[in-house]
Amino acid sequence: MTNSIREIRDTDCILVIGSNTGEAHPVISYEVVRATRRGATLIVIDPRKISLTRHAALHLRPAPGTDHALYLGMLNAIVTRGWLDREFVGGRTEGFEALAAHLEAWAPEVAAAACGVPAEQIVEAARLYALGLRRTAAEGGESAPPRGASTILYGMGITERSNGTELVKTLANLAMVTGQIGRPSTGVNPLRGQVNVQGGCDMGCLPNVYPGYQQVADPAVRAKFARAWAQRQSQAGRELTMPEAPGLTFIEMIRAAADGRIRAMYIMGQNLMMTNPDATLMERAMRSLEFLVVQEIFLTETAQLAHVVLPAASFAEKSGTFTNTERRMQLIRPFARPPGEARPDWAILCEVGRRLGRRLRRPLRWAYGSAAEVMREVAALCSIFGGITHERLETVGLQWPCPSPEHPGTLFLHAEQFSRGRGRFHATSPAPPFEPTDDAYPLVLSTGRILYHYNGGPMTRRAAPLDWREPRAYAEIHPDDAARAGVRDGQACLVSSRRGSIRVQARVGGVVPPGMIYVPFHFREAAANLLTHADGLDAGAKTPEFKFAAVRLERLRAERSGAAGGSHPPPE
Amino acid sequence: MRSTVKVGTSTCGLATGAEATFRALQEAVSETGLAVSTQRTGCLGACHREPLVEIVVDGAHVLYGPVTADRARPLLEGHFTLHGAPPPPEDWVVSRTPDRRDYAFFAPQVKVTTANCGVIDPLSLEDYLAAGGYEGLRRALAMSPEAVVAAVTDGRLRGRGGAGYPTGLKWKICRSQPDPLKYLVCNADEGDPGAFMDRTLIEGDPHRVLEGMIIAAHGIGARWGYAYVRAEYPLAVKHLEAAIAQARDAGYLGTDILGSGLDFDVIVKEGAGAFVCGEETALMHSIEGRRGTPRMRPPYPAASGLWGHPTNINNVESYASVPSIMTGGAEWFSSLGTSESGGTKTFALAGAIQRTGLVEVPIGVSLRQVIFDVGGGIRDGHSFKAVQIGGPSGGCLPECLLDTPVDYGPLRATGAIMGSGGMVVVDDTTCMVDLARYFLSFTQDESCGKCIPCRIGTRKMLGILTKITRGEGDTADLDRLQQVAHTIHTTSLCGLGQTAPNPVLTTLRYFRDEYAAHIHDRHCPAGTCTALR
Amino acid sequence: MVALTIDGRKVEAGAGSTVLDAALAAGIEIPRLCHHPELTAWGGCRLCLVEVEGQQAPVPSCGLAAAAGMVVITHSEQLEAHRREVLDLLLSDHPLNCVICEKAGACDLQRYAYEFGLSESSHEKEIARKLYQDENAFLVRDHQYCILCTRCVRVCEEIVGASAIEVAQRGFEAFVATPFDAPLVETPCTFCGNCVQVCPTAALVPVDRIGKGREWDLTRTRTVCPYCGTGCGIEVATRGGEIVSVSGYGAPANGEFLCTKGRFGLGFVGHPDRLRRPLIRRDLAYSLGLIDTPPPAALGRSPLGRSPAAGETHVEVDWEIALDLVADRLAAVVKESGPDAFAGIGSALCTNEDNYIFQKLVRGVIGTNNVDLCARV
Repeated sequence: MTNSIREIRDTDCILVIGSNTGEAHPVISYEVVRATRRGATLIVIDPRKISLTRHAALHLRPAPGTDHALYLGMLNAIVTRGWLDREFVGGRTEGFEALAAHLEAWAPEVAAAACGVPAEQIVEAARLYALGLRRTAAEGGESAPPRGASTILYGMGITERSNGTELVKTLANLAMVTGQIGRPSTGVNPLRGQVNVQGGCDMGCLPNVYPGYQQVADPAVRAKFARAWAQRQSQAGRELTMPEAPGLTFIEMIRAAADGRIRAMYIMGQNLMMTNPDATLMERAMRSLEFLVVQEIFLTETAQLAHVVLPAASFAEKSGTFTNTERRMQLIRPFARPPGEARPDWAILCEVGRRLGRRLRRPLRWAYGSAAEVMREVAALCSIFGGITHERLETVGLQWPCPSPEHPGTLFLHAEQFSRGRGRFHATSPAPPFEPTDDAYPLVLSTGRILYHYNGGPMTRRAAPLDWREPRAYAEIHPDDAARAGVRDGQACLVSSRRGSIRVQARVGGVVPPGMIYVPFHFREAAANLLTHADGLDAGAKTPEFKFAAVRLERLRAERSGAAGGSHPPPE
Repeated sequence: MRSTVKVGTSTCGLATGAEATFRALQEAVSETGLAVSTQRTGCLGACHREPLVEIVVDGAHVLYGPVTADRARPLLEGHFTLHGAPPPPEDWVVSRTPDRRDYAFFAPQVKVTTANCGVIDPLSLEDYLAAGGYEGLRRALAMSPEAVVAAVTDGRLRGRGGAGYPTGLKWKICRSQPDPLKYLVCNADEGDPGAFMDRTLIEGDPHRVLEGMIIAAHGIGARWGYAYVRAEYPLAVKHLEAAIAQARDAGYLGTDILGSGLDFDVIVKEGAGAFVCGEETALMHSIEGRRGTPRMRPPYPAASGLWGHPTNINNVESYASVPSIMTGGAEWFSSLGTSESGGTKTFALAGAIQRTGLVEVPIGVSLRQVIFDVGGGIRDGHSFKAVQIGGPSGGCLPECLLDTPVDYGPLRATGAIMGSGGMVVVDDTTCMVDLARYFLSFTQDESCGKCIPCRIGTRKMLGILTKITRGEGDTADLDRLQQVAHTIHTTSLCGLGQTAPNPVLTTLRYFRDEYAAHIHDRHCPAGTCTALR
Repeated sequence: MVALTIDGRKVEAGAGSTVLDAALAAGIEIPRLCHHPELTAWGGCRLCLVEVEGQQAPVPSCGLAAAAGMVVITHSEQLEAHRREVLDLLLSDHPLNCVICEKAGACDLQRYAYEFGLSESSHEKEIARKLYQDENAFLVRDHQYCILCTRCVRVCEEIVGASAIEVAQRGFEAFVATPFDAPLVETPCTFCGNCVQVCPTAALVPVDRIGKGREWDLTRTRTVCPYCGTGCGIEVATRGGEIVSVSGYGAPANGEFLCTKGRFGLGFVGHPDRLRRPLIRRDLAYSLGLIDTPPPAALGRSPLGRSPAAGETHVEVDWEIALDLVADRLAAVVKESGPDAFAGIGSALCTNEDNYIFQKLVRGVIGTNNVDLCARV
């Protein structure tokens, strides 16, 4: 997030896009509720009637996969009707003229035709967002209050798309053209889905950067890490060379494993059989590996395929830090003993590192006394974390950048200037989803979370109250589609894509629009990712398109309609 | 010759069979072929003589009552001496003068807000206009809003809901709020047992209330008005809604009212049966669709009311007084009352007296005048014991306080309150402990439960009173009652709780010997407490 | 900022603060039961009444805006008498079975009863609400303990936005109810348990907390919720290493509030399915001669939807065997096919330190940049 969670409550206008905040980030939705109770205008852009729409002034429901046009329509309205922040555009950005020219083709009426949202709603959303109008100000009309603070909160509905990067740039355009960034309670705020997905990236578990987003391509960076990691100073320059070429991204790794280019894999705390697209492909890739190590707390679906499974301590049994979606690094403290011989992940890795280093003649320093000591090394090597220590985190978490021991952390980014200097506008254009619907697979499948479960379910489905509340897989289906398929509410039905099919309980209602099916991916007995595809990755981020796959819906014959379940390949 | 037969068909009339009387009269008219028109009207206030029928022939008025359906034909034939019928018996006649002052019940009254009640057809805008209706609005619209507020201030109108807050000041505070969106509320959630002032006013003359609201809207700058009427008053709701529709058609409501540029309209909201919704903040919650519980003040509604916007809340009678201030002038209005408060006050006079009904008297007359001159004193064979004024929030006053003027300050000094106008007279057959217990059981039952002293304290007081009426009380109970009453009075959140102990406190103060008799002698002097017979 | 006088002290209060806020900020305690700093003022408990110069009756400080020049007295003989009376009334409607109460030691009512020296009520005991509702797996609603402070109702409406509960009936019969008294599961309730968090008494208690120990037996650890990216601060109460309850404590991201997963979703920690020792897949163990039984056919079946019995797919081994096997096999692949034949996947569920060490292992020892994270899913 560019801004902080606590700033949301003071926002004047909130744009929630592609985020079922109430279920995926409930506590952030509380901030949104608070803001609306203080008079903020809430605009939800989502094909589904998510729980937050109860508090929304406007709910725009673009047809699945067509929302890009909506944002362009909003931008057009903002530019042509003079709602833009000229001072901000002139002083802080570049490339506006090209953007403005590009937007001429995207009058709200044109956008409306493309996404199915009425033009007047597009214009109204643009006005409310651009000017940061509270509900009372929006009703008041004629008198022009000073520009309020608007924020964009977005989720995987934006990023888990074949053109996710383009969409994010478009949202950045919205924020920059209206000056709704770089101030409190504004910004472009991705709501990150997992507890330490931010931290994992920050720590360099990415193929192109070292910890602190330092480029692997930079020789100085490589040398710095080589020097720091080498067991003895004298060895550094002579023996330890660091790889120069960027590595493979996740799906590329899977494909490489499936066709034998990757022979061994080490997976730490990731149940990719459940949480990644095209579970059939995932299984093929895992089975193709000559050696698979999985470090886990449960024998997950992925761990079941591993040659070696190493038992890890959970968050409850170790010290360390998590970094949340607002870049805040916070201390975790153990409150239980690890079961049996389970150990903290980092401690296991150090053991592996020591042994493997000997065999590969790359001995590194692994003698960390504690997680706090690991963080000291991180701080020494990364300027943005330079001032962070476990000791400082004892009292309260810190938001990076925090370059020095005295630095208080950074509440919101881009206050004076953007990371690259001037913010650059990108003229983006909509692209169709990778797998459009057709006669054989006429419905759009979107997958995602529900309130009571998390990822592949190994944790939440073992938490008794949560599994009591939501014990089985289901699909949200619009009454029209259900009627067409002869499926009734509460009955089991079959959802199939080109890659597989699953049996789920039908939840027929108005949450999804006609033509769309929503299936949560938490249920291993009906794994939604048997249906999704790992093709058409986003060109920039290589993210799969979990939010759009073509599927069909069928009624189940009585004898098969018992429990939920999944199979692959699809029955023909 | 122009003849009209008017039948009072307000709720009180209907309860005594006025509908049947009206039908019988219509039938008799058509059968006899008399050239008279039959007309429904509101309540004249003389409820003890209902059903009331007034026959007006060329300006000559005769008021009859009670006229039950079986008397309809003989009345008509007698009055118009058809077929040599004898004139109606003299004891059917209430009054023979247009101002009805020949009847003792009416003689001391000064009718301002109820002037049209029982006189005009409440569903007829023409009738209201003919009686000078909407003239006050015309005058007000010709004045600046500030001048309107000043006139109300100078008229010394005080809130008729019971608390007596100066209406002009209330309007001024609301008017001064910077928020351009302001609301106005008419509180017609009349809940006191035995009180029916609001009902009579709305049923009998809905346009007057509406006119008062429109004038207030001009003075305050309000765009929308809500009339919150208790759902147990279906006829009042019907009449008010009819009046609103007529007023809209005639341009008294809507946009650019009478070409003045004023935009204002009124929405009727029905209550849902909770007494506490008469409390202004609970009432606003109810209008907003929330649970009807009071909230802390400040902020007062004038600063932050409906949906957070400045809101002026007055009761029915306050609004109904406003048109007269505009037509009669502030000086005249204030001269009706005392130096503290101007105008008149309506009371629902009930209980053990000769003449019950709705009465309107100038502020400042004594309780004695109301009870004995208007009400005719206690029913035969019994003697006056107490008057409960102000409903369950008010107090019980003994004979020695009967010369107290009906005015906000003097009544408060006795431990009672002016209240909205409930006045129940009791004679020597009523046990004061039991009366206090009755009123407390009412407030206990109607407590919303939000604050602890009211929710639990009234329950505890009721428990003690019940104990005493059963002859199980002891001396310590009286101190206990006093102590809990004091806590409830001082610490409760809203007026309901703060005033709930009043009936107990005043009976303890003025009728302590009756409590003592229950406790020490195990005896109920009035003989009402069955356990002590 | 406005300056006012509270109990003879000059106190500065921020814009929009109440007299109660100002007093608390200045370290002056005022008794209160319905007040909660994150919720709108309610004014129902009448304990926070204060005397304000120029006003006849005492005023609840929770709803009184601090104004310049205000002179406030928070403790006087009169006020203490009122507070004692109000508490005395409240105690007549509350079971004083603190000896077996889950909330004992953390109960606000108990605290004030103690402070005012009230061991029982001087009034006739009569408990209005007897309802006991335990129709869900998350929280028990034991209405006899309810003091109708409505913190639960307000948190549900004002913070969570669910509005699943509201006060029903009135007066002495009033109680906190769902629409038409339906079970919580049929209401918009999200089982976030923030109502439990703000409940001052034992009226709302987590199902799993019941019978798990007295408040003073519990060890409290502040850590971070392991689920979504909000990073809520949680305080885990344990007894003998077993989780008793989870609550918010005022961390920056979430304040006191949590969602259902954070509060009721940590049951996995002590779950018997947790891995306790390193495992080797049966076919590999067999080929290494670690076991005699040939691998079962089940190994070839898709793991999706299956719950293998313990030991069905893997066998437990010592750490030494497992670690050496990992090092041997990975070293062999790297030596044969080069470092880029290896790929490592870090975890969005592990700590920064774990992930740092992970990429250090991949880059520093294996020598490849083939490291990624589930950030892209």
